[in-house]
Amino acid sequence: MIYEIFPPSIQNALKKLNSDKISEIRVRKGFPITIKYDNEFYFISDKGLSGYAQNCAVCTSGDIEYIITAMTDNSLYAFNERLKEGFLTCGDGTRCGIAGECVYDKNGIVTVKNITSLIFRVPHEIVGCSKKIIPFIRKEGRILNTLIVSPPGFGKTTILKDLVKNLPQREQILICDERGEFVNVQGKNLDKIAYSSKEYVFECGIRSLSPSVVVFDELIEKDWLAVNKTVLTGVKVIASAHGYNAETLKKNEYFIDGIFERYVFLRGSGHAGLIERIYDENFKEIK
Amino acid sequence: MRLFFGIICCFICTVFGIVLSEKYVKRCKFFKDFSCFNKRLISEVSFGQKRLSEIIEDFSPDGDFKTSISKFSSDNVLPEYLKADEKALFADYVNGVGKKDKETQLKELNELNVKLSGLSDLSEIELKKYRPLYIKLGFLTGIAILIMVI
Repeated sequence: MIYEIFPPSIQNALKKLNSDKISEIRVRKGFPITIKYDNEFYFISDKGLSGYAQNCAVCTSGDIEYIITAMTDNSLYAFNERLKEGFLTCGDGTRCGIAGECVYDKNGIVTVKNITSLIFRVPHEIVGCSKKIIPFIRKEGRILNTLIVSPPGFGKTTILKDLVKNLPQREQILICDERGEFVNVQGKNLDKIAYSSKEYVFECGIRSLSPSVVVFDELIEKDWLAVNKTVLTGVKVIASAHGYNAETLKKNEYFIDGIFERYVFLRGSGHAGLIERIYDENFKEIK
Repeated sequence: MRLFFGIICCFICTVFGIVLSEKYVKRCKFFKDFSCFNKRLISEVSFGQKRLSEIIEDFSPDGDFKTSISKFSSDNVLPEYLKADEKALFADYVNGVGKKDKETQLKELNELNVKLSGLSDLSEIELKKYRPLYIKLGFLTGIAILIMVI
């Protein structure tokens, strides 16, 4: 957790807490800062945590400007593409979602101004959290195309980060790190393309880097075609997507049946990366 | 002996004139560097996307401008030869740059480019006008002393 990006008053409060238990920090202009600590929401006060908003310092526009300036190394212009996508990423891979006013021109969104909310998702490495999945996503020594599904905040990215480290060393893995969240994931069989679209990874990465497995995080509607193209090349895909259960996943109009051979659904128990169910390509549960 | 003393005075007065006019040289260089830095920043914001700290570090002409922009956020000290409104302009520049999105930043930097080019030209005109004047005045004062001494 990079404390330096926060104004001194918030830094002091955060330093009193156990950073391993912080999973979210919600900074909203005009309101006390909310923190998800040990899976419960609290407000940040001078003493650390408080269950009540009274007597907690209110976040000002100056605080938000301070955080953004620190996160962008005083170079917000260099982060415009990410700003347009609604996020910034800290040096340690902490993702910060941004809410403000979108500015458009005839070509689409130009920027986001008057930022009012910053939502930090603090990543935590859970060593070995993918080990239960690995036997299910391998068959006769090869990796199966796998989709990890859950609502936001259930640990999809955490599992993916651990999974790429635990895949067999003979696999040449290409990570499509669209949001810079895999910054600390390294390995002798890993290649990363950061801040690129999945389409770019399909068009350029697969041709030039010849991976055997490609990892995509958080598939959205427009990504499914790129993933389908990747699978058709024979390269294996491990990806994650938002969803609640098999039924809701299949109901999505962008869902393409037949791409994935394994579907791993995560459980929202408050601990990232717990498996609810695993299905095969025909949505038959595997036990 | 008097002649020698008079020549020494003449030399010292001329050097004094050169020293007094030095601020115009520094002002001219400061605004030239400022304008050049702004143009480089426009280019980086448009295409290069380098971080501000890297752009400052890579900015090659060493001098008062580079020192000021590197240290202003920590010590707020600016060269004495700048006028109050010029100091305010520089402070606004340093405090504003890097805190805006690409579009707004480019718009502001382009607007400022005209102003900085104007300031750079003006400081060059001042330099051409006052530096020879100060040197001539110093020399003439020296000659006057020489005549009085003789």
